[in-house]
Amino acid sequence: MTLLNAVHITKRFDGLTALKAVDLQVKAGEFAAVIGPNGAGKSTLFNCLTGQLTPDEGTIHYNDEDLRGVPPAQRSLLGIGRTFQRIQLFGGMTVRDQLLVAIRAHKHHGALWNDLLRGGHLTSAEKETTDSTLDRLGIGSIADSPVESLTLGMARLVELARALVTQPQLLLLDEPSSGLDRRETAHMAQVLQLVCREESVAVALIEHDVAMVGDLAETVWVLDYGQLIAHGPTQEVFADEKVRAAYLGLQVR
Amino acid sequence: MVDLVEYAIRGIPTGCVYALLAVGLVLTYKTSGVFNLAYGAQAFASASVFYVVRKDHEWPLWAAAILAIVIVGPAIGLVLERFLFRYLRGSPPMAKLVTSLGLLIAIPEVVRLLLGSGSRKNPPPLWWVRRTDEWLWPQGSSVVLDAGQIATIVSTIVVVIALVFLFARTQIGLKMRAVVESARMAELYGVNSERTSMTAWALSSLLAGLAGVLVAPLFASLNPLDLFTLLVAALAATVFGGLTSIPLTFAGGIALGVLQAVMAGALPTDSVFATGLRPGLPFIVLFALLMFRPGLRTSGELQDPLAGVDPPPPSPVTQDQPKWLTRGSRALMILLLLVACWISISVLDAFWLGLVVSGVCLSVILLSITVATGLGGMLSLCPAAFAAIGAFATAQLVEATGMTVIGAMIIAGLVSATAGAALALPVVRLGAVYLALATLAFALMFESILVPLSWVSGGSVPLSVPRPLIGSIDMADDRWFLLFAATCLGLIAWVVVRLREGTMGRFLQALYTSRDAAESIGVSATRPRVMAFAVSAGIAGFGGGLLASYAGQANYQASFVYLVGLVWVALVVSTGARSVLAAIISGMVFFLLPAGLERLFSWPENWLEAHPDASGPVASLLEVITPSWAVPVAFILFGAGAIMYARHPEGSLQSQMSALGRAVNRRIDPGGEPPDPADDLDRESSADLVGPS
Repeated sequence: MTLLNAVHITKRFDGLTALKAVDLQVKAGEFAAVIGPNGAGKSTLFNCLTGQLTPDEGTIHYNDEDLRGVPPAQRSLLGIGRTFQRIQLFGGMTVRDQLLVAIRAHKHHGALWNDLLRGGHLTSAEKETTDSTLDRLGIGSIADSPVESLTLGMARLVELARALVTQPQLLLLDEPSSGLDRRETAHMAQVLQLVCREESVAVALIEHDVAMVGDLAETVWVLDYGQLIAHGPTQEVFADEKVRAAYLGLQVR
Repeated sequence: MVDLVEYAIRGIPTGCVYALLAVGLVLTYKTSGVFNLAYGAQAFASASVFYVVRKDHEWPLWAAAILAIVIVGPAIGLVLERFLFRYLRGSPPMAKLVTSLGLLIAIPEVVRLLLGSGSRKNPPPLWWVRRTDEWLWPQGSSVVLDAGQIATIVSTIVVVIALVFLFARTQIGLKMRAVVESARMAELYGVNSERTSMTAWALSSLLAGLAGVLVAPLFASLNPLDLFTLLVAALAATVFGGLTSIPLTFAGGIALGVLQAVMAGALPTDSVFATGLRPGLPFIVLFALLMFRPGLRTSGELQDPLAGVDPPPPSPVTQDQPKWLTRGSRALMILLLLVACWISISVLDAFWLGLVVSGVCLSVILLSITVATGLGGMLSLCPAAFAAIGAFATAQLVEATGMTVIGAMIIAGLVSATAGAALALPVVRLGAVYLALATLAFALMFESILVPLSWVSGGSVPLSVPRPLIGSIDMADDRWFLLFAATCLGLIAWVVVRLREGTMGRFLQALYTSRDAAESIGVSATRPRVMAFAVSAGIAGFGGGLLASYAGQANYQASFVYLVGLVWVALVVSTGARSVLAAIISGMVFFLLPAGLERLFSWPENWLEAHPDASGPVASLLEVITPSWAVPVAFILFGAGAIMYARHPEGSLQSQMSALGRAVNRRIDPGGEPPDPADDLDRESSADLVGPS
């Protein structure tokens, strides 16, 4: 069953056409990868999917619901989670607080009287949820550290945890291994595989690490200069001459 | 039709003034990223110098003009650039704005101290004559321009030609355009960006001086408030030019002046349109432009292509103090406040007790700034407007329905909260600088359109507000009123702390430090901020009612002028925007510091009176100091606090507390480092982990 169906997405920035009639389909529980050279429009595509940008043309359906005009926060409530290429954690908060914000936003705990009557303290259920999510990613020990003290590898995992704690059906990951060393990348790949298989979360992954894509992804979508130049099962796409010329040729000999 | 053309021509000089002010603002914004609210104060400084030398000392025109415009104007700009704004280049927009707010408050008072504070009537024009009406042209025709207007038009033409030449033909112009785009990028190509930035500041300050001298004759007497109000009007032109385009800014300024003049002529003089709409027009235009000009809504702040290499902006909270210290200091604080309350009641005389009560009432209002700016990260510049709404609503409710004052205050808070929510709905989507400008525009719209209406303010005579009466306790006694006000303050402080530590505070902080990420996990980008804004307005409204009840009347001119609101914001933000204690200290300081200084500065006089035979340098030094220094010095200190804000973005109070916390931690656990979560992973730069891109 198709979970996400984006059709003919076009996005222009003044003169530049960042995306030209790009399609992307992700089935429930599927692991898809979006690859392409820098500037191909991958992050722009993600931003259109999550509502940070409004595409000029094209439609996006999620679970057969048209996402046109649905604000980003609402899309998260529908079950789309994401991480960012340039890490976006909330400053001045602990790791647990990052997850707490996500949990409360999904439980609609934003009401004023809630704060006034109950003080907004951490409940034991919330503590359990945050602990188990962090433990699953192997970062349970840093739950109460301020985010400013984290290494880049830790911070990427915290971002992932924050997205996971909302229990998304679809997870958009924007270069989760960027800036990580080989060991951290391996850990990240392991975690992602675990997430996708155990919780049957569908994943769309932007990634430059071709080996990681080859290991994880079932299908691959290749963008170049804002256009979709190939898509299909991973091994078929990797064998495609066009794709090798545009992107892979530089890395896979 | 002919009439309209005449009116339009009359509007051109005003339009030229708007254009000059607006272009100067654009110049500094483009070259340093500072939206310089102090620009009006700089204009006031030059205009004052010009007045003193030209009118009091009767210098020839050229000498006076060179001193005031070519020397004093740029000198102020250079000092500001060299000692202040150069170090703020990478700071968040809010820090720059608060710093310029501090300057706006401090500069006019410095000028008053240096040049004397007497009123300066009939400022001279930048022309050969000494009064604007001594020289008219063309004589005998239906539209006659006076010396001031002619001088404005001529100067504007000269400035336009000079700027076009500078930017199109000279190397320094080219360099400025490069520094605008990215100072650091320009440096990589060998441009000395610091020198270029200083040139731009000198140039824009020269324009400020010129505009100040040209504007002065428009008013009956010289005062900084008029100039600043004019500057806010000129902001409409700045926003019309998108804060970057100089030609569009010019066109916008002149169009605004013409539009205002045409409306003045075309509308019937006795209608509400003429009395309210005409002076309010620039602010309406400014507000509308901010709402509807495409491209401003989402981000709009100047983006440096090299911004990606910046470290993240400092987080507004520091959590490096242990929990027991927070609890302990909080308990101590409450105890101290109770003791202060008791001392006030039992020891102080009526004069000081009155100031303390006013301070407590003001502290309630200032907690609204804690909510909007400290928790919400929104620099709202209209706290005084919401306080005034509360004061007016309290007065009108008591008069119309005869209800109890306390009930009226609560309803007034709700009225004000509703107004706050209505303003917030369009405004919270704007970026930091534009949000501040929109709230400033609102404050001035409120002042120029609504305040004069009798159903709002009661007209020219302030509405009276009685003191509350609970059972047999009559609050007409200041001591009872102090207890009542302190109870209100305690309740509202409790609400603020609850919000700060609760879900609301977390949502707001998430939105402030990374809006995209907050939205990606389901936090609405508008709802928490609208709620924070409404709560803030409600608190200000209730506090306004309280202050009015203590003063016995809802007096706009005495308590709620928008400029006073700016001083409040500067005070609270520089003391500690997120801290309840900072709001209370600010409220007290606002009333007690000027009075205390007055006592201090009256000592020399008293001493000289007691020692009439004293002579020598000490005596002559003491003679200079007078009690009239108190208010200027107090305001300079308030302004200086806001200027210092750039160094401690969490506020001076909070930075002291954090330092104390760290010191205590070291004492208890020497050598104990905070747990390092990343022992087994290689340490990477954590610089780019947090914050918006």
